[in-house]
Amino acid sequence: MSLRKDFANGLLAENPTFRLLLGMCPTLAVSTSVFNGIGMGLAATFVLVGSNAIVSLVRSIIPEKIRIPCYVVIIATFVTVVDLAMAGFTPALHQTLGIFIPLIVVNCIILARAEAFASKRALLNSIADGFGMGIGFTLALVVLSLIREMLGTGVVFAAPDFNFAGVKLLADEYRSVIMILAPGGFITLGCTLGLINWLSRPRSSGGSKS
Amino acid sequence: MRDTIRLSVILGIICVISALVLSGMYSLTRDRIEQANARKLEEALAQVLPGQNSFKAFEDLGNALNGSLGSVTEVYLASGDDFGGIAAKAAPAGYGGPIEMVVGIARDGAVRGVRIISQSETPGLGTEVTRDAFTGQFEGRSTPESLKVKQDGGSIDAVTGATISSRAVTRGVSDVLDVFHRLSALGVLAGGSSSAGEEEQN
Repeated sequence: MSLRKDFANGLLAENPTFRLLLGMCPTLAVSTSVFNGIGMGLAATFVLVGSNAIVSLVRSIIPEKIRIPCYVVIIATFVTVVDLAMAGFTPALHQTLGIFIPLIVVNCIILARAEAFASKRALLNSIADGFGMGIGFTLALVVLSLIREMLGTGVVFAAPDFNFAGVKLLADEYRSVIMILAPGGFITLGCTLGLINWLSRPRSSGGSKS
Repeated sequence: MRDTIRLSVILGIICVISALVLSGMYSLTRDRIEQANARKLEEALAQVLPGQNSFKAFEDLGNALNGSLGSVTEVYLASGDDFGGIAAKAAPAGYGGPIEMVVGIARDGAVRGVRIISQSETPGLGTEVTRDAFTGQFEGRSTPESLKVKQDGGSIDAVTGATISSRAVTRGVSDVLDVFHRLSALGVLAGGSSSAGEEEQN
């Protein structure tokens, strides 16, 4: 299996958010602004690549029966190490991405890829899969947060950490706060999933309707 | 049975290795993280009392005020231009956890600045209270009584959709003002030769 195929798999065909429906909780939580979406996506990508690599390396010494608790310990350790390293060596980055770390620990995409992919495949393939899944997750978050941020605040790409007020698209009287609250998350996610399913529905060949 | 023991031992070994890696990483980064946090606090203190770069921690705050501090956690006495003023750290409960903030109060009792250091409010809603547009409203205020959001009959404009977060920050500022007034009534601020708070903070 080629590395490129493993990488591309996560982008669309098995997009973790839109196709596998994994990691819904952090998705709903952070897709309130594009800035948050990208931050969460990048942090998750990094952790996915790292945890996939470690799980793939130790896959032969972990007994089948206790693999899940082993993966949980490995992932939790890796995430905590990343958190500490970021806080200690790159405090500025930690200030921006740090709030996503606790959400990554409970992100089931990480465990799902360890179980479904990295535990059976070679190191490089697992890294490619982690990378593809991470980028796919980031793309999905950007799509959802773009919709929610625009309808909810009227502004897109607002990045308070970089003192960037964002690009104003809607006048204040047209925005609806509900879109950046939890219900707006469900509405946006549901409509986007429906649209994607409709676009990718199997089409009947020819003009016959049946 | 034997299999159970074998599996337990393997899982145990993995946990021990994880613990070793974690404790190694922790001791490697502990000093740096503490330094980074101290620097962050120092910066925030200097921001809320501009022109001031030396602060003394006020120790024994709980005893001095009979334990009723509201949400105030630490008080720093200003010693330079703003001698008699204070910068205080408060952590009122917001919507998603405590909102850590520092408030600077000049010697005349007016709020000089408010900065949020850390919070876990709803992104896009509660997090708006960290913006200058909201925190700027407190500058120049000096009476704790008027510090309420408009919904509660005060004069602070709450952030739309984030009344709880706005209320929390407002309470933090009013608690700090309250502590300031009680400290100055005790005479430990301007001119008072305070015996508490010996530690130099800079």
